[in-house]
Amino acid sequence: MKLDRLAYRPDALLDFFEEGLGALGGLCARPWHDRLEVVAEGAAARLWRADGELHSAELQFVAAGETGARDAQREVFPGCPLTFQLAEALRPSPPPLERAVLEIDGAARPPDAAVIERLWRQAHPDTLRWRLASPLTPAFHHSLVALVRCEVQATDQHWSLHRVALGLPDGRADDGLAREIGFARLAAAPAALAWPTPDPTGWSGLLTGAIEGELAGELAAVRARQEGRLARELTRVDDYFANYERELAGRASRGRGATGKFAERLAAAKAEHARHRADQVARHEIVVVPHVDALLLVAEPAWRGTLHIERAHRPPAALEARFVPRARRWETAAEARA
Amino acid sequence: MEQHPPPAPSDSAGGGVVGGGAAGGDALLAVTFDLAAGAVLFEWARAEGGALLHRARLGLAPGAARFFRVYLFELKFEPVGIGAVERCGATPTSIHAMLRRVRKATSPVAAVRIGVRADTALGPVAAGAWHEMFGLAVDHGWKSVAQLLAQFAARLEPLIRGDEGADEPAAARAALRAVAATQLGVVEPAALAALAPRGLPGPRAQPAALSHLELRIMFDTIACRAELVWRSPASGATVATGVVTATEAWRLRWELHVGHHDEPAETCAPEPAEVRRHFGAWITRFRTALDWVHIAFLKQLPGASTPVLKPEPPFESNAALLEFIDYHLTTMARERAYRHSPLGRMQTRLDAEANLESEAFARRKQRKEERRVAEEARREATIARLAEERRQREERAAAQRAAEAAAKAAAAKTAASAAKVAAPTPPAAPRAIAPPPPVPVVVRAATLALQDTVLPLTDLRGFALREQAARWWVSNQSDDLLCLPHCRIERLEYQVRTALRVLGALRGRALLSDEVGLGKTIEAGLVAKELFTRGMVKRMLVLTLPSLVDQWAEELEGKFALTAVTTNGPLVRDDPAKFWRDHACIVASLHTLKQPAHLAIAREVHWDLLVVDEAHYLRNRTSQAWQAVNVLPRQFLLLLTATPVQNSLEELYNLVTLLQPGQLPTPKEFRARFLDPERPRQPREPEELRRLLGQVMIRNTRANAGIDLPPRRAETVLFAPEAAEARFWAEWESEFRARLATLSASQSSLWGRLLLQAAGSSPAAWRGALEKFPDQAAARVWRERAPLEASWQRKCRALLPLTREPGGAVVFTQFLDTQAALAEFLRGAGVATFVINGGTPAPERQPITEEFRRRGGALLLTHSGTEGRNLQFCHTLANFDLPWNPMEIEQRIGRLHRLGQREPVAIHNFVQAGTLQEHLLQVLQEKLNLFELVVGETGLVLGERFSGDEFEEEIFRRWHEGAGRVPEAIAGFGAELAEARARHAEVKRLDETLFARDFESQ
Repeated sequence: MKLDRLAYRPDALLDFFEEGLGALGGLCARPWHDRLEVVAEGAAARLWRADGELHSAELQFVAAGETGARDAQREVFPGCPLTFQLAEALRPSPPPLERAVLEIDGAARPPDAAVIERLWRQAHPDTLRWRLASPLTPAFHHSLVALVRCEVQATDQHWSLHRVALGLPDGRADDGLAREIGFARLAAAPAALAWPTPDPTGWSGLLTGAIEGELAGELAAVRARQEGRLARELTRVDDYFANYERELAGRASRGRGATGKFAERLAAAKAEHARHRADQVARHEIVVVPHVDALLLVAEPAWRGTLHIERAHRPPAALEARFVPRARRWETAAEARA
Repeated sequence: MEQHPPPAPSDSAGGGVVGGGAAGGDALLAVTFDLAAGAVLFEWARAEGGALLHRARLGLAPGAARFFRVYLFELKFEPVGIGAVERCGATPTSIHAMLRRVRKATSPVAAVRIGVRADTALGPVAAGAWHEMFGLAVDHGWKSVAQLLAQFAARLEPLIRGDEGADEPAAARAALRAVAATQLGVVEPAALAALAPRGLPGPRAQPAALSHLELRIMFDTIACRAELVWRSPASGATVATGVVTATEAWRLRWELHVGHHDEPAETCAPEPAEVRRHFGAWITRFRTALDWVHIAFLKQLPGASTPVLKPEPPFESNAALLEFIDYHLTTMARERAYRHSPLGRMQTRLDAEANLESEAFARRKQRKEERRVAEEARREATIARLAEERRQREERAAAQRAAEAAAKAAAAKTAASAAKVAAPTPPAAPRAIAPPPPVPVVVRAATLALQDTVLPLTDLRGFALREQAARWWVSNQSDDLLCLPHCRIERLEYQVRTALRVLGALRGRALLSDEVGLGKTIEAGLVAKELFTRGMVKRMLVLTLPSLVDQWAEELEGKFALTAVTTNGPLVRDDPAKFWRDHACIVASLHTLKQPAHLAIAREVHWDLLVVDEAHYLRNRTSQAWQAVNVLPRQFLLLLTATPVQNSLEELYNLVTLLQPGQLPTPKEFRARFLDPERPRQPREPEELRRLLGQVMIRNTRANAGIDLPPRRAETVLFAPEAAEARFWAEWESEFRARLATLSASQSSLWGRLLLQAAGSSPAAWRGALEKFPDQAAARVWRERAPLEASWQRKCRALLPLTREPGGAVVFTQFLDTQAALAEFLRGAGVATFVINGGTPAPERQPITEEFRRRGGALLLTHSGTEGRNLQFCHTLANFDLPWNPMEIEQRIGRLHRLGQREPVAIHNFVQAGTLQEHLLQVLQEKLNLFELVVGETGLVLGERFSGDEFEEEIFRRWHEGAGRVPEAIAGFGAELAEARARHAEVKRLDETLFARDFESQ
């Protein structure tokens, strides 16, 4: 889920500074609607002093559209370094893998069999027969939620922010969780809860795939722009060298130079042409660099059971499956492999 | 043939009242009082072309003479137009209503012209000719028509009403003639007599209007007076004349002449109430008919040699007339008083100048427009010629291809018939245009280095805060430069605009050709810092001249916090591969890069950003430098030069080709299209070349950057030595030359330059230098013999007046000994003296400067103390001694003559008459024009020939070799400098021709 950019609003930014600096250990007070008095030490003070010594400042949040010279040390304005610095200070590197257990209403009692059968059949329309082979037992479903800043480097540079939720272990996108995580209530983790082992390599692949999907639309526009530019550049380069080669050939045909010299020049021109083309192509390459800012491993109540399934043109099979009440969907090992 | 009124008035003497605009529509209306017919003609014509749209004739309505008649007038349209008939009564309301209907039914008009045509001469109206009475804008025009018709009705009605046997056409002719005569200011007793009663009883026998007097008012705006003349409409005789004069004392003087008698004059304040009182008394006394008041203004129009009399349209009511009179009389009084005031007198003078200026501007504008049209025509012709040439070429090529194809086909046919089994030859495939390769998209894998945690969260506030932080981080990306808060530079808008344009529209490849002194280095630094800040550049290479390598590194470090390694450091020699490969920011000399060993390594590295300073050194495509830069793989490229063209336009071509191959056509085509072999610096098609260059080049000038520094004024403070001193210096120079001959070449140059410059500075500096001279015996003798104190005192005293200038004086010297001695002298003379030199700790320098700024006096600086000082608050500079390096002098001047300087900078050069310093100063001033060049320009004039120490060496060489004829030797050097300056001036002219506009950063 792509998160929209925030419009510059001094009051909203002031809230963020107050909360952010507070989280870093700073003391903040608002003497006026657009001012924030800060007394900071350590991590919070490092926004101003590399040594983290005690620092006090009164920050002023400049109104949007205000022009004039800015004091980057004590003024907050669009594009100002302090905002970048605070945001970066709040982003531990490497990011911690945090864990959370979601509290889901009504998850304490098993779902109605008719309902879950119907949900199964909706997801798998080719199912002929469906039977719950064993009673449902409480279990947990795990997901990975990540905040990813995507840097798209084309001729110019774009940034976008995405909140990505993936079901584990299969990496199936869970847009519902990505949307709702901001409103979720957390529960205490039961002692029996077994968390999945962190798998940075595998998860990185899953996240990259999800980001590719998220950015597809945006990239298409960037790519169309880049291709237009590249075509123009290449036409220019090609025309130039084609004309040059014609000139060389013309000179050679008038017998002014030795044939060997002409061939040599022609070869040099071709090599140069190829180099310029390659240079232009490389110059127009689009690079997407995802930067992971936060990671959250989410556990939520689910129901595990064995399903006996008959599908068209397939032999009957018994499947271990988990029903996730929040998402109202089934997760199976087979799907994970798919 | 009937003469029609002109449909589109264009020569109105009324100052373009109708010519101005077609706000109301695109038609013109001409209203003609046809005196012969006793009717009023209305003609609507199209503004453009004059095609007739409608035509109507206003005459008496049938039964107009009946006592109980409804209509007086009838306006009958001709079938060319709307073919309708409109009628109205005799009252103004009815006339207005009819005209409103007509106005709605006909084409909207832009202007109304009211004229008269008479069968016999009537005042200014020739018989049979159309004469304009008013040329009016549309609203006013319709109103005037209505008022005139009302006057017509008023005069006509008493003549015919109730008299069914009356000669209606004759009455109409008479009434119309009377109205026209009144408007034209003609007293025509015959016309008025025609209005005499036809035996009708009662008040109609004498029209009411005729019992009143007619008033004519002329406002003479030149003499600030108004002349009022009452005449009898019957006899035309003048009854009374009143003159209202505005006096210089802001009063109005009222004078009245009745018959031959002058009545006592009165004065009053120019207040509306007073004016109304006086004027009201006059019009009451002379029974003025308010609809017979004629007003005109005598005006002096700008640019006209004679005044113009401009009539005003008639008034609707008494109130309007009274308002009009009091407004104009009070205004006139105000105007008169103002004109008499000092400010007014000044403005009168200025107005004349402004008029001249305005005329000159108009002429300039016209000439410019003519030039533009000519240039455009030339360009069109060139484009047409090129298109024709291209068409011919293509035709020739097509014909050639057809001939070749025919020949091939014939050959194939022959071969086929000979062999009987020949396979058909495929036709030559047209050259395939390769489609552009797809743009590669690389999605890098998300780096997931994570630190695991154990305890589950109890709330998501931390996560939400991090998300908020990431959102603000992303949202904080702005359209402005992100790097600015990290740069230690003064924000100059044109530099920021330049950086934004390079990053945006020019996509990181640009030729930065700002005029000297505008900060190309800063602009390149901004671009580099921004690209680094945005993470778009990881490796940068700056190429420059060897002498500028350290300066670049310092600027990058000091102003942009970019730490660079340089080719002046040891690493490049110790481990070249590591030097080129392992550093993110490198400042290298072009000379080092050109070396094959270095180039082989550098070309293997992909440079995200390549900056080439003084890029005019790449002007030759066959040069090693050009080739070396060309092979470096790079993403973004900035070429920096103030003079992209020095000798030929091909140099520019080479630079642009390095930047964007294909931006300009092939060399041959470029030469054919743009180069004039006889004038290689002048483009054939400057506009087209400018257009092409505009896509890769930015050139800010002082004008567009808003940098307009005040002038510099150089003055020589020459003091003559006493005879004994002059004799001593002559002897010393000859002895010194002889002693130097005994030293090695390098020692000779070193000591020669040092002692000669010290001698021009102060006795203290000279003595100090002598202490270390290798020949101590000679040095001792010289020290003992030297009678130098008198001239030193004179030199110091010459400085005293400068220290008393507002803002004090900045005094530069090369020698610490001179500085110390001078400080002692000045303090002794009671002058506030401040000293900064290399020994002054950095934190103390600014407070000293501030103190000098506050107190004035003298600030004594040496070269080391100069760096980083901005002294634009002061405008008096003294070169207490003269460095032999012009660049150093320029740096001294540049401390004061910089952005923020508001006063002309006075430069005082202290030299002793008859010395080497005097000859040198003469050369610098007259041949190099050093003190008038713009900061940064000296280096361009001197070029490679005299960079760094070479200038000093040359001076010394000429002194050394020119024993007995030093002035001639130095003058010879001056000639060389003059040539260099002339060359530079030519380059500058060419730059202005080519790059005068279109390349600014916005």
